[in-house]
Amino acid sequence: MLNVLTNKLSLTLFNNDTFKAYFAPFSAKPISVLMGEMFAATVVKMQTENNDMYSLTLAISGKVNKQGFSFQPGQYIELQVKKNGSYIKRPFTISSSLAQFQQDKTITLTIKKQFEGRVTPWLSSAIKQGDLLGISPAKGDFVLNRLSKKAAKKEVIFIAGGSGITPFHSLLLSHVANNPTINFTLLYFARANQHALNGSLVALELEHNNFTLKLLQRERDGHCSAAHINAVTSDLQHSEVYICGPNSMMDSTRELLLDMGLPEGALHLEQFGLASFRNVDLNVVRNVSFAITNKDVVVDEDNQKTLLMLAEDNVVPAKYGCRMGICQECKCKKVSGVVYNSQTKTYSDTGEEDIQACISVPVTDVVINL
Amino acid sequence: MATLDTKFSQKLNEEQLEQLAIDLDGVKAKAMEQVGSTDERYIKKIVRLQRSLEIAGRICLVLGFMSLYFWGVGVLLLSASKILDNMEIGHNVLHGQYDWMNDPTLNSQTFEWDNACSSESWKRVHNYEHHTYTNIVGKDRDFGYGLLRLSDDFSWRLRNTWQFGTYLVLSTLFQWGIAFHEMAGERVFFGKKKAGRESHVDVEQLKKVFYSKSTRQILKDYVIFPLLAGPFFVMVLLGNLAANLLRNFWTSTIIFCGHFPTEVYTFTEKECENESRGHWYYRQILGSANLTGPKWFHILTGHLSCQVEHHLFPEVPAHRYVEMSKEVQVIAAKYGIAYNTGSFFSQYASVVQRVIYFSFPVGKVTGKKAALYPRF
Repeated sequence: MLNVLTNKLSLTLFNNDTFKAYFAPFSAKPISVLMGEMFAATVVKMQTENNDMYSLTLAISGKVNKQGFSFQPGQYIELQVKKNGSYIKRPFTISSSLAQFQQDKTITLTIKKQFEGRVTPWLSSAIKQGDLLGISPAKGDFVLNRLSKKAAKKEVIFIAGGSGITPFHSLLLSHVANNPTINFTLLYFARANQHALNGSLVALELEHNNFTLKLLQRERDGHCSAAHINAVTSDLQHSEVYICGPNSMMDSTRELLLDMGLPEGALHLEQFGLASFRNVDLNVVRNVSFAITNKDVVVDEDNQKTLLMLAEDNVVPAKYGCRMGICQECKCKKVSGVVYNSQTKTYSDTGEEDIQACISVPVTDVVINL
Repeated sequence: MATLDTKFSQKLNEEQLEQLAIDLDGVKAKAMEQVGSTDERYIKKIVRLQRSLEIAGRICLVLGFMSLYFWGVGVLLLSASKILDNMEIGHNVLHGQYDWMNDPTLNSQTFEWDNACSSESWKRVHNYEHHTYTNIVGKDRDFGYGLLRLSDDFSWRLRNTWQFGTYLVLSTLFQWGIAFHEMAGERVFFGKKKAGRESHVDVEQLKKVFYSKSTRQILKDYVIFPLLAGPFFVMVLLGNLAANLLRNFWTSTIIFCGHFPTEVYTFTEKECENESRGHWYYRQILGSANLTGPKWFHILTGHLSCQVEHHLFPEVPAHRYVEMSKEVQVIAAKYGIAYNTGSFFSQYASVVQRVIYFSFPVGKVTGKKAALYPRF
């Protein structure tokens, strides 16, 4: 009530929704932290994991909506950084344990460099100890299924591919010691000598009987096969399986496990991060999701229609003006995906940003706030 | 008077227009490549300056009880703050020039300014109508604001006789004129809507936005801030009024200088049917006029002193226009396009000349005068 009143007063006196917004230009804090949408996170440590992965440890402080930060192992957060004057948000999985957070209020993100990406290759060199960033509350449902806790003697199998190891690292460090009745197995596929975070995984295996670690090399062991599964369990029907890795790996492994008789409900998949533009297949049908209207539209590979035209064709309410990229009336938020700007002849970034619907053509699956 | 090398601008063929678009797109791409931290630091610095001026100005107004000198300084500081808020910050942010920063406090979709006209209405009338249809008589309601006869495209009426007076009144009440502009066009309170005008918003919505924004503005300057000053209520009220008036005169004058000096071209709807991007660019150069001056002057005009560049590249951060104008002038010269620029005083004198000239019942402008009031 008081809040509503002060906001009304602030709007009347300063044409800003909050007094904080009016004074924002005087603050060095990340804008989302200042506006109370994100937690403040201070960079504590930066560590190289392998050729293309690094870990970032962040100390979290502050409250958002009166809530302190908390997370369940397996979840991710959105990190807000400022690059060349522009605030960019990117999702990253928490790779550290609950215990680490309880001890010193820090979390660790293990990040893969998407070499064509705008954020991940730059971030490792741009950030230094003591920098202040914004992080969102933890999100995602790739967490340990509660049912498996109740049932005695459950088998939990984790299958990781490449940088898909990050949520499992957090899940294992947090749950193995606390659930001695559950047998955890991790099948970790990566290129030779590119198994990230394996030091602490090996240590965990030595310490606990209920955890089995299989470090597999793509070159030598190939993709995940029935033989790999049969080698670690004789009771797949009563197991819970979690998979995280490249899309193609998740698709083929999912099919394999269903064929082997695993019930669909016992299968958990996590698609994480944003596709780097290099990996985008331009010759496929794509899905345009109008998030507010809750409408999905499929367009084929030779789609030339702009997002505004697609919205109008499908009775999605969209503001428009000049229809030639001048007036910005059609500006809206792209949540994810790549669009082609037919006027500047450039491709957008993959993440969240404002775009002009009247001159933007979807190039990948796109989620748009319309 | 505005400089013009050739008496009339050259008409370009399709091929030349296409090449013109490529050249100007190149200027824009080069500028956009450089947009980044420099622009973020610049706009934040201007916002900090504006906030500081506003706070200092409001304090000085209250201190006016000690000496009238404080009151005067307060008025000047507060009007400078309002001018920065409206011109260099508001106008440019609302064009989306800083949207790439992803900063909700400086985003075209959320920004609200210290002006009776709501941002939403402004974006529809100014960003869409005016910038898309610049100087197309009948489609760009900013050409004369429906009050003034500024070219021979309109036939003379009796009320045009005293249109210089009308212009002065419009300048005095400028923010209210702008706030009412969209409603007047849609004839919300009286008269008939002009046939063929497409409306993007319903009448009830228009009224609601107009009343809520203008109520807030009146409450702020004429009720709440004066009340906060307690016994100095009247002094603060008068100070706010004076600051608003100064801001109105300044913005009105700068905007008139950017659009209505002599030698600015007008166009008919027919000429612009299915126009190419090149033609749109061509029309923007011919339909706008620049002002020369020192850096502080450009900042106080919100860089609308570079009206030509603003009309060519409305979404490029405005503080880059001065630099870009050098390249634009070279390109304009290459194609024989008249580029209208001059000092503040010469441009303003020619605005006055235009307003007065068309207040007389002159018919079609011909002969020597045609170079002063050119048509495409």
